[in-house]
Amino acid sequence: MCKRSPTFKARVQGELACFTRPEFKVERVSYEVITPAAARGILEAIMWKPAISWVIEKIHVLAPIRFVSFRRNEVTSRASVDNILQAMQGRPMAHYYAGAGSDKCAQRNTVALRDVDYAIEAHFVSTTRWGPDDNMPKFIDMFRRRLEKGQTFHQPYLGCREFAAKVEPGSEVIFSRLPEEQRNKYLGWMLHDLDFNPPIRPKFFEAQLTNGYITIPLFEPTSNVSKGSEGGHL
Amino acid sequence: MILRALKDLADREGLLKNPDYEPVSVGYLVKVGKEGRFLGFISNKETVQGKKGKKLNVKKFLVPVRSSRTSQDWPEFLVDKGEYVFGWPVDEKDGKKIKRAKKRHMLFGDLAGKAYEDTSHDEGIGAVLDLLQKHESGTLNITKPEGWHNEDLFGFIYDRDVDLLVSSRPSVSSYWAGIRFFRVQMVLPEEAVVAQCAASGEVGQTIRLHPAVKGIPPIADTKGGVPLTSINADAFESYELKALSCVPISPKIADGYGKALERLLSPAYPSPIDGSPMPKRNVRLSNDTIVVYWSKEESEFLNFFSDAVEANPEAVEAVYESAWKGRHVPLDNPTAFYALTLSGAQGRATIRGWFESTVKDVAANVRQHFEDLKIVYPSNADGQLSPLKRLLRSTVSSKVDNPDKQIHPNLAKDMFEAIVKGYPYPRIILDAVIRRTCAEQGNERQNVTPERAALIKAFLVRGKRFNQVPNNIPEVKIMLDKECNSTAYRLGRLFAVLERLQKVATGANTTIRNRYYGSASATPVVVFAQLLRKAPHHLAKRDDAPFYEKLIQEILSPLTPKNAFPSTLTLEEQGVFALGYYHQRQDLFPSSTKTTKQEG
Repeated sequence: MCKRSPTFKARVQGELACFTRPEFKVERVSYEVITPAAARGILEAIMWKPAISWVIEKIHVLAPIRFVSFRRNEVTSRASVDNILQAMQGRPMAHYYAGAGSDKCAQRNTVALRDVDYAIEAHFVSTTRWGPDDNMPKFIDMFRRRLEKGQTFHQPYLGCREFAAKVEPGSEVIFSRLPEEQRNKYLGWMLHDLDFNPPIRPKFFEAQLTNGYITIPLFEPTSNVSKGSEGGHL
Repeated sequence: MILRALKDLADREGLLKNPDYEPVSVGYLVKVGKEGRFLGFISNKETVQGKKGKKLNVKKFLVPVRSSRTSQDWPEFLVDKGEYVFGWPVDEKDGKKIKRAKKRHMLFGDLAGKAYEDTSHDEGIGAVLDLLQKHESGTLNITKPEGWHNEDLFGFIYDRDVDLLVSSRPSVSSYWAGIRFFRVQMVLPEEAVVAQCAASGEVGQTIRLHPAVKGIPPIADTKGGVPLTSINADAFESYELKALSCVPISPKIADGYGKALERLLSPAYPSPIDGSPMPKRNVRLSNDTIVVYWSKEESEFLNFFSDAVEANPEAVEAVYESAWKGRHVPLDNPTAFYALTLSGAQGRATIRGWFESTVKDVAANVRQHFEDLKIVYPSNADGQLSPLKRLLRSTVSSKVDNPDKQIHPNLAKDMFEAIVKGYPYPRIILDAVIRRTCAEQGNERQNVTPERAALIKAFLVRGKRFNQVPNNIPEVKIMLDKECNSTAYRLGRLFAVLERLQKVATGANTTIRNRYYGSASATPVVVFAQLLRKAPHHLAKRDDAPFYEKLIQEILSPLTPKNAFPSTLTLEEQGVFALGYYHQRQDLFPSSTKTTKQEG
């Protein structure tokens, strides 16, 4: 039987955020609001165990949606696993110079969000790795405590790791600074989350802002991709 | 939303009428008779006398859409180069090239052969295959047509058909529509990735190659077209997805947005309905940035938008809701307005900005922008409406060869966004304008030009509207404001009066402006004492001394000795100084002000 926690509310804020659209991932363009996947990431930074999995229910948008764009020099290659294993074994690691102007870097434009403010409503459920020692009230307490104290496994971030998030417990009454005309908007297809059953595939849902919040549908991580309007044909 | 909005535009304007064919220059047509009889070549090349000498014109035909082939062995369907169609190598003497030509010719033939099977033996294709077979077996010797170049394309025409290429025959074109996706994307049917499209949510085959968008500046760098996304380095991949599986997009969306961007970027895109040029929907902001704009439903305002930003007077009038040639332009349309700022570099199109609003709001904001820029003009100025380009050029030195390249890269985009959003101008512009006025103090021509004064005024007015300038900055007006008590404003006025006094008294060509403007603006206390000391000497030379004396007196009266000459002025205050100087100058010159009737 699947156990679930009560719904928690977390207030997430930040000066810069970039929830990168998959279709514009090289020259990054952000979605207008936080994706459920990113929200999950923030909650997991606060608390996660293999026994639980987070389910995002609602996202409240509390600040006007504003974009800002800038360019940065970023590296073009990935870290080499071999090099790191070498270093772990105490052998000297090859140096990696990727400064601006080197052939290992590229200048990438980013269209990010500024001054974001969200209230995330979510709960967690037990997974197939829930063991006999796992105890729901214990986890609930653990999460509440950690959220209150600001304890995290790693710094929560807003889309990209360099955009740190400030996370606090959410209050019962939320005051939104979103202007009237922006409270009801169709946002198009947004990234819902990633289906990690191999092969890894992104899943999307239609996001609709009503009265300043988005209701997130339940994520169904089946890799039953052939189910669809014209699966397989144009 | 971006791709979706583009696709919706393509649907609305009917840009996707014929997604399977495109107009391409075809060098020669091969006439094929029944049973593969070779009836000769028809050349489509024509040398015409152009303005700069002879030009080669090659006729265009609607042929199956080309794939993105570069150096791979990948045959196009029924219309291809000599190397593929006949196996003619590009270099007769190179063994490798001969082998390659053979291979490519075989692939071409195989593709045609499969088509023959799957179209239930279409006559046209059959004839082509017979011809190719005779050519291969040596029974038929086809010599290269005169003037043949290995980049020339060959199309086939079956002798009975008139004006109809084999590739456009009905049964052939429906067959082609079915396989087009795989051929253009260069994937085999088994390889296509099935996933959910990020823009439409549909599950289906996703494209492997994004459409190459043509027309994004700088044109020199984006000649062949640049895709909106290309995953061409490791760091751009994620979740073990390779290349473009990271970016799942369905072919419908891809076709839609590709065609939409083509239409928006082109200066006069031919309408799919009647071929007439469609109205322009882009504004070139700078050397490498262009903004394309459109609305969800058709709106007349869009036809004026580009010209309004470029300050074509008629267009601006239209924005002011006055009747333009008897037509009233509806400006309160609540339909959505989209603007996408693009730049092309590094082999891909970069999205620099995305803006969503309503036609109503944008029209109001453009009107507000011109309202804010209003300022008194010298009588010999050519116009009072400054296009964005002219405003931006005033931020760089007028002496350089290529002023557009000197403009700060983000400035054009930031100004454009400020205009359509109704936000304050970026502070960079105030900085640039003030810096230029100080740097050009030594010039013969005026350093505080009307454009610069207008920009400063608009910056301060908009800043005040959003509470982004300090409280001591006054409400700046269109012309001289004698009631304004701001120290910076009065000092600017004083400087103008002293300059004029010196000019009329000594007749010198270089005045205090040439030497002291910069320091008077930035550090008044250092300069003004000196300047005022010289005043009596000038006054003594003039009969109309009382006029100047009174004016100076009037300017200085609200200032107390303690605060009259601050040690420094902030950037905003220097802007006010410049405006005081400019307003006073316009007032002092006899035949000034075109805008005397407007509120001061």
